[in-house]
Amino acid sequence: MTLHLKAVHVHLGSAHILHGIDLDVRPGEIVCLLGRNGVGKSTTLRTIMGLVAPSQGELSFEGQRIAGLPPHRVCARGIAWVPEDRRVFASLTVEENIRVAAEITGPRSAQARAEAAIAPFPDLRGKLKQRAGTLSGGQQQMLAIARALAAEPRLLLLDEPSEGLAPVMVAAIREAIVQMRTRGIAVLLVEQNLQLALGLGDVFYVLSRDAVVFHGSRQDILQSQIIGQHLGIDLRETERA
Amino acid sequence: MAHELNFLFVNIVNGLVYGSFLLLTSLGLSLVFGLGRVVNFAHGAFYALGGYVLISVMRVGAGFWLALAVVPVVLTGIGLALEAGLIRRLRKRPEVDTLLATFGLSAMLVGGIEYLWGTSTTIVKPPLGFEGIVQVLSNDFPIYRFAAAGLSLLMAAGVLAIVQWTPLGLRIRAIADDAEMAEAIGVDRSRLLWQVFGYAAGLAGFAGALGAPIFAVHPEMGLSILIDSFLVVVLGGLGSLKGSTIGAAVVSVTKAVGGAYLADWSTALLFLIVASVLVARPTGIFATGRIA
Repeated sequence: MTLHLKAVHVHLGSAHILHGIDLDVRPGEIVCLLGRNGVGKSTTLRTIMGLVAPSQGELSFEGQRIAGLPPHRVCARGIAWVPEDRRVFASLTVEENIRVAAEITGPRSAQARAEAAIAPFPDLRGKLKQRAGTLSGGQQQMLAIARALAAEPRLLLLDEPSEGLAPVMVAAIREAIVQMRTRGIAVLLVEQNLQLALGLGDVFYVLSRDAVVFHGSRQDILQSQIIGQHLGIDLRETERA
Repeated sequence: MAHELNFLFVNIVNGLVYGSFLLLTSLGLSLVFGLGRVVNFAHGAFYALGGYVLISVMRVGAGFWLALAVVPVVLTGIGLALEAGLIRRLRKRPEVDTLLATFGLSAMLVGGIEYLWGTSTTIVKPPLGFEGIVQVLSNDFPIYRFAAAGLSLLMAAGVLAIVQWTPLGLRIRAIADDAEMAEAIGVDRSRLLWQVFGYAAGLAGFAGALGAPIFAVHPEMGLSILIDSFLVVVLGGLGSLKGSTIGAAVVSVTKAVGGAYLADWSTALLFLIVASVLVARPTGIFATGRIA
C-alpha cells in the first residue's frame, strides 16, 4: 500500500470538515476522488500533504505514519502536491520554479531531475527564462505539475488539474498523467471533469457530506447510480457530450 | 556658489558612506521580514553588539581586521540562538507578538551592553594603513571612510548575489513568493528562517564593527540606524531588496544633506518624504511581497 487513510477526521476551527475518511492508493495506481464542491476533496489532499492537521485517524505512506509531519517532511517522504489554483512562484522563472524543487534533495543530479520533470511538457522548453507569472493558465498548470515531478514523488496529489483549461491543454495534462502511470508514480486525482477522471482512473472514491459514500473500480462506478445520486450528473449525457 | 556646491558635495559623499552601512542593516531587516514576517526591533542592538564585540576582541590582542572577521561569526551565533530560543516559539502567534518580543529583546541587549561595557562612548582608531586622509575635489576625507563604505557595498553585493544566484537564495525567494507552496515542495521554512535570522544578525554586527572607527561605539548606537533602516525598508517596500538598496541611498543622502541645510528639520523632511511615498504607494516603492 502506498497511501493509507483510515477514519481521518479534520476540524478547521469549529467546523468539522472531514468525517472519518478511509482511502487507499496502491503503487502506480490512479485513484480519483470525486464529489460536489465543498465536500472536502481539497481538504483531504491538504491533510495528506501536512498543510492541515487531522484531528483524528490514521494517515500513513509506504507503511510509515505521516500525520502531523510538516509539509517539507511529507514531500521528502515522496509525496508531491499540485494545488487547485496552481500556485506557481510567479516572481521566479520557469526554470527556477522547477530547480527549487529539483535541488531540495541536493545539487547532485538536480539537473537530471529537472530535465525529467519538464520532459512531458515540451511547451515549457522555450519559456525557461520567462517569469512564471506571465504564463497562460494552461502553461502554469503544466509548470505546477513539472515542479511537483521535479521532487521525484512516488505519489502525486493533483487537485482539479483541468479546471479552466482549453481542451488542447486538458489533453496535454491527460497525456502527462498517463506518462506518470508508466513511470510508476501513483496519482490521487481530484477532478470535476468526469470524462477525464473516468478515462484515467483505476479506482474511484466519491465523497459526499464529508464522508466516502462509494469506493470501487471504473466498472463499478459506471454500473452504479452513484454519479447521478451524489454528483448530479447523468453519465449518458456526459458520454454524448 | 562654488563653495556651496562643494559643501553639498561633501555632505552627499558623507551621506552615501552612511548609506552603505544602512544598506547592510536594511538588507538583513528586509530578508527577515520577507521570509518570516518578523519585524525585528532587536536588529539595532545586533548592530551595537557588533561594535562592542570588536572592541573586546581587540582588547585581547587581536588586530582590527581579525576582530572584524570574528564579529559576524559571534553575532550570527547569537542570532541563531535567539531565533531558536525565542522567535521560533512565537511563529504561530500573531505578528505583533514577535514585534513586542523583539522590542523587549532589544531593551535587554542594550541593557546587557551597558552592564558589561558601561555607558560611555568608545572611540576606535582606524586600522593601520587607513589612518590617513585622501583629497577629493580639494576636500579632505579619511581614507577609512571610503575603504569601509567599499567593503560594506561589497558585502551588500554579496548578499544580493547569494539571494539571486544560489540554491539558498532560490529557496528564500520561493518562500517569500508563496511560503505554503514552497514548504509543500520540500523547503524547510523553519530552518531557512533560522539561518537567515542568524546571517542578518551577523550582517548587522559586521556593519556596527566596520562603522566603529567612523561613528564611535556607544550602547544606543543601534537605535538611530534601526529607525533609519525601518524607513529604508518601508520606503523601498517590505521584503524588497531592490527597494532597500534605493531606499538606503535616498534616506542617507536626505539625512546628510538635509542635516547640513535644515539642521533639526532634516528628520521632519525625511519622514515627509517617506510619508509622501506611502501615500502614493502604500506598499513602498518596490513592494511585491517578494524578495528580489
